Amino acid sequence: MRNYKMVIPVLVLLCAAACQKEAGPVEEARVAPVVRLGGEVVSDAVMVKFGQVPDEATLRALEAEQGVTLQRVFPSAPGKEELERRFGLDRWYEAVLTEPDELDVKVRALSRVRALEVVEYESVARKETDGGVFPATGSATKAGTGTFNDPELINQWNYKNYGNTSFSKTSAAGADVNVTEVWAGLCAGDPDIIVAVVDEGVKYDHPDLKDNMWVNKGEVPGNGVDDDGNGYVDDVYGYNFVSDGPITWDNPVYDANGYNVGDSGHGTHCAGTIAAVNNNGKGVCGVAGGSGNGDGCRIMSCQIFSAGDGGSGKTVSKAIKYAADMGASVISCSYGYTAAFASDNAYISRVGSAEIDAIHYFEACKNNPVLDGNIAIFAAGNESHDYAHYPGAFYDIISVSAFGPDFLPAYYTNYGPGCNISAPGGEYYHNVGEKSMILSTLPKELYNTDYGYMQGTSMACPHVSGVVALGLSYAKKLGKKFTRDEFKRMILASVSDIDQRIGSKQEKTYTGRAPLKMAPYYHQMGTGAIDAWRLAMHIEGLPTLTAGLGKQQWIDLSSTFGTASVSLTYLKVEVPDAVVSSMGLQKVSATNTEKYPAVADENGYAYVQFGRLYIHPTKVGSGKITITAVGGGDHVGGGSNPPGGMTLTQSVSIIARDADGGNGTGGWL
Amino acid sequence: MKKFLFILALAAALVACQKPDDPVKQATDVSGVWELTNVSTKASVGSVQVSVYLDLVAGGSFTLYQKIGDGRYTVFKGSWKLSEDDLLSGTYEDGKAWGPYEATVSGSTMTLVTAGGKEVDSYKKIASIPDSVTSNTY
Repeated sequence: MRNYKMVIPVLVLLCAAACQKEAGPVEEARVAPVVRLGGEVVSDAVMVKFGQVPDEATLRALEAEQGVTLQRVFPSAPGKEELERRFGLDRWYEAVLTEPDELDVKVRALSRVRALEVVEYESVARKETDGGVFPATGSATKAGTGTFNDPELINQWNYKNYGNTSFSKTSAAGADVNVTEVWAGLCAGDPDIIVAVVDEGVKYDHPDLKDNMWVNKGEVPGNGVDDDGNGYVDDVYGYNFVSDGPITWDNPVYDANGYNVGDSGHGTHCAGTIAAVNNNGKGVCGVAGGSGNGDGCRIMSCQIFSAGDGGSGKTVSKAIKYAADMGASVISCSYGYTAAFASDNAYISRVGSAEIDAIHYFEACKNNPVLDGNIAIFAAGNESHDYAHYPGAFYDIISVSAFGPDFLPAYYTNYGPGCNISAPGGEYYHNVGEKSMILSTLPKELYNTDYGYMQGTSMACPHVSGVVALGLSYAKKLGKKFTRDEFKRMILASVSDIDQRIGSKQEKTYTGRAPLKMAPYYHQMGTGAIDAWRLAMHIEGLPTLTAGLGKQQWIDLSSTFGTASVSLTYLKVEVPDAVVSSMGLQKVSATNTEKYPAVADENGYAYVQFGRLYIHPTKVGSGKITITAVGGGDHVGGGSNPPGGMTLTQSVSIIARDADGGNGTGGWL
Repeated sequence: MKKFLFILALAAALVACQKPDDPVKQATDVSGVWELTNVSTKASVGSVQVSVYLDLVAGGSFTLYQKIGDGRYTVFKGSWKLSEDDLLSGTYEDGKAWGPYEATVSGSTMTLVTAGGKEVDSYKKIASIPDSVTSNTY
């Protein structure tokens, strides 16, 4: 279902190439496939893939014959040669036109060169945000009431949303990534897990980012020498693949309408969502930003946009390979190609593309002790299209759609085929100013403040990247190992249900925009909204049960204790204070206990009766309750007749959410 | 006056004779024991295994056996009614309303569609609710 309407132009191109009768010694009847990922393309260059690694003579002959200069796209990394060969990275070259020519004519000519396997237009990527930036004003100066002491955490509804109407007049409790309990009780990051931000340059000396920046220890800063011999000079925090030089972030460029098409802080903003330093008493938190003890995941800046330039296929492809070769476990790619023109999935899969090959190479590299590969995350796109943009639209790449603080699709988000999962992307027009957008880090050079708001699937993407990095950190902590594909499935299964809310609305209304009908989005926002707690529980191997809010209810324990749960003898229920606080548990008490035995926790916040756990949550929250039962008897064995059973202690993972029902809340009809 | 009565009688006769071949609409009979067999878009299903048995008693009461995921069946009771335009609705014992669904019965299959058309549940008629269900409840 991801084969879109853009196949025809490809076929037209192929037919045109096949019919052409230009003279030339290298031309044969066969035609190399032509690939194009997006609408806008570089005007004076294309990428070509040779059928086999070319020698110098072949390269020079082709240059002379076709009027191009050829340069290998991907530098080779020592020790990675076999993997490079497997994905054909050693056979991709950029062909730059030496004389002005019509690009399509050149593509047709190249497609008839016998030595070439693929000819690819160099599509130009665009950032998946509308460019609107709202600098934060009146920064909070006191520590928030959250898990960490970062003062702006209270404005990051995207991490924990209690339905506060200061973020939206229709704010929905649970419209978040559900990460704060993971920070509090499980894990907040790991410096060995590196996330490459493939984007504008990240301001690596930002006060809320610098301690979580990846540092290339093999490089001496600023000496003008490629100390580690990787082909890149002074790549200490990453590399600027546009200027082929140092990372930059502070060069705005304005078009005739006064619109900034240059540096906007986009990469710095995404980096902050992934891993702004937590618990440092400054600014904001990042999903995998650590606990303030140097334990945050690390950010690598792979700069593909610079001062209004960049984003070409070659630039992007090189940046992704760099991330793979320098140790990144996740690439966070908040860009895509305009969908006016795109080859279909099956075609790209069969033919190949430099960037898709680079992504598959990245995902095949092993850069952490948890997985046998890495994971790429992309933004789905901001055109309100009912399909995702490339590269995220490619079938085996995770693509992220966006929702607002009302837990409904954002008006701009792409949705439908190719969109795999959803995350907070922020959304203006909620009658609360910029507070309904995503707050993160910005370069002070551009906005005279270190923090500000943006919206887009560009902002949704780093939420998933951060949750993935956090999950890898937790898995590493537990010593767990997974295959890359297992972990991808776990990511897509670690979601809260957004469709229940979408299905309950005919349309959503805005202040300053026309209403948005909800029906087209039903079951089209991927598997649901990414949930960090659920991913952590998947990593532990613990099923997560859900409870509704505002009423006493029961939760079936058979998934934890088996189908005999109803007849087991229960000895103890333990509810940690953190769980009471997280879910706002009210006290509950069992009835008819003489006939039906019940066991309660010491403070009366939960009890077990009939093999069910009874609780009364009042807030969105997550936590684990520990229950001890007797397996194989009505008492613990030893010293009595008949013999007793063995003690069986299990944790029950629970998420309390407004939208979810719990087991005891209603019938099917 | 006679002329008027004649016209009235003629009109009455015409009305009585109109569309003699029109089938008389049969009232949909949803009563019986039904097993849920297919779910189109129910949001809460996901990958969870759902098992539902519904006993719609002709007098207007119902018993619902429901199991979502692992565990035992939960039993719900209440009342139901079918409107003239085949809209099935009802109330659980706790007073919570359900429906309406557009109900159609074809042979041994009953289909319930929500008013917006978003959810379509199909049921097959069975003789009785299996003992394995009724004996495996909370």
